[in-house]
Amino acid sequence: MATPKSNVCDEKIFRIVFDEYSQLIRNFIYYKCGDIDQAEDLTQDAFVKLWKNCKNVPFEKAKSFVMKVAQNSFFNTLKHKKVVLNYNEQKLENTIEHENPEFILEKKEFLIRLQNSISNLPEKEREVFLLSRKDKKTYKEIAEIIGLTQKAVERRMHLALKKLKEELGASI
Amino acid sequence: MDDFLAKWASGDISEEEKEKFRQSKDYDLYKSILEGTEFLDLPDYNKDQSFTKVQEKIAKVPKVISLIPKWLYFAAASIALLIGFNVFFKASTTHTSGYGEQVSFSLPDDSEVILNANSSITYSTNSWQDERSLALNGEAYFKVNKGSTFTVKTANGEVSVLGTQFSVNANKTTFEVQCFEGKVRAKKGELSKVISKGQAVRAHNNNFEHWKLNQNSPSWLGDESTFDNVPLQQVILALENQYHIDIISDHINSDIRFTGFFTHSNLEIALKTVFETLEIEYTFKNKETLVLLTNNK
Repeated sequence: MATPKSNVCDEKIFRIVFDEYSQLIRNFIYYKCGDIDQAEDLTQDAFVKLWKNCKNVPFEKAKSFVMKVAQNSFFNTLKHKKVVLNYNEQKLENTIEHENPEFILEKKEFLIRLQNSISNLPEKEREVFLLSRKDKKTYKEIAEIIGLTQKAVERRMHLALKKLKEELGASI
Repeated sequence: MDDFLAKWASGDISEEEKEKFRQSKDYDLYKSILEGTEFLDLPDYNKDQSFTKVQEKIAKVPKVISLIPKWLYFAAASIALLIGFNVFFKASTTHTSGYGEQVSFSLPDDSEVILNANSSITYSTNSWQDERSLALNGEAYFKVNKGSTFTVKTANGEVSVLGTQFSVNANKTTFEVQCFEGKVRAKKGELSKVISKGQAVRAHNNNFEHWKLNQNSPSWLGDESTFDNVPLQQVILALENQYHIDIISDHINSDIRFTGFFTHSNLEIALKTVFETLEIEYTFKNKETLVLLTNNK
């Protein structure tokens, strides 16, 4: 390694770690609790803790450290809300602008039902599904984040998709 | 195949399998789910704003242990002076924390100390190499590096260890030791007791009271102080140190014990949590003086 002693007490390195992981952590906590303010708060607190412990945390361990801290503090808080991802109207209209209004309406209805079904997923399946589809993490990366085997992550993803299909299929 | 849908979603299946799946009746719906999810958005994230918040929070945390402890400058300066004037002068260093304040610093051997509110520590800079010994008045948490015997002397007793984590709370009336790692010896007059990780002792009526700890570090490192069957006078002192008030407790039965905690961030709530649970009424004589009235117990 070029700089074997690099630790996160260096403000530049601390900032790099923050830029690299803060959004992922914030999203991850959001998938669990559905409260974006709380998710951002806990994420910030995790980085404050990282800074306080920077002497003891080498650069390579920083990611798992903040992940752990954020998760632990999440377990200690009780607030749970519904996880709601709103559909992006702009994006939708841009991609299907040449379609007829009826089709667009149908599509919007589907998105609303999809967003409901995602909210209704069990927390464990929802976080895997969203980390994979929204944060574009591989199953291996998700396994590291959650602390599971890759196999277990794939199992949860499979179940998530199956449940979404069943719920959406039933209401057609 | 196991977890087929997961593998399909990540594109980890063969062309043949893909084609076969395309023929199945659920395929379109599965495809719409993945495509639809692309249109669902999380609330916007402002990285810079969030980072600014982190910096603000860091600035508010008083307990950051400085990488180059301040004593180093003092020590260096005093050594320079000493060489110039009197080599035999015994240099001592004192660290003090004010009301409601916690101060952390490192000792010459890199052992760490965090002082709770209104406490002080004095040690000799010169003789530290030969003898790790310091005087404490108040409450402090120690993370001692391995080495020669490390002694904390107080008005009421002393604690000696080799390398461990523990806290001492000592003033005129109190002598309390909590051990969070390793082993420590608490000594008061003829009394002497070795306690290990998770154990604590308190001097009371010329005896040591024992109890077990539920946490890995003193609660006061966080935003509250907890007490387990502690004489009320000790709790009152902790409140006084934390909030810089005087509490007059002449009318109160001094045998009362308190189990619970109080917050460091709100005096009103802190007083309520301590005294209302004990059914003690209180009133403010002026801004800084609280009088405890009666207790119905």
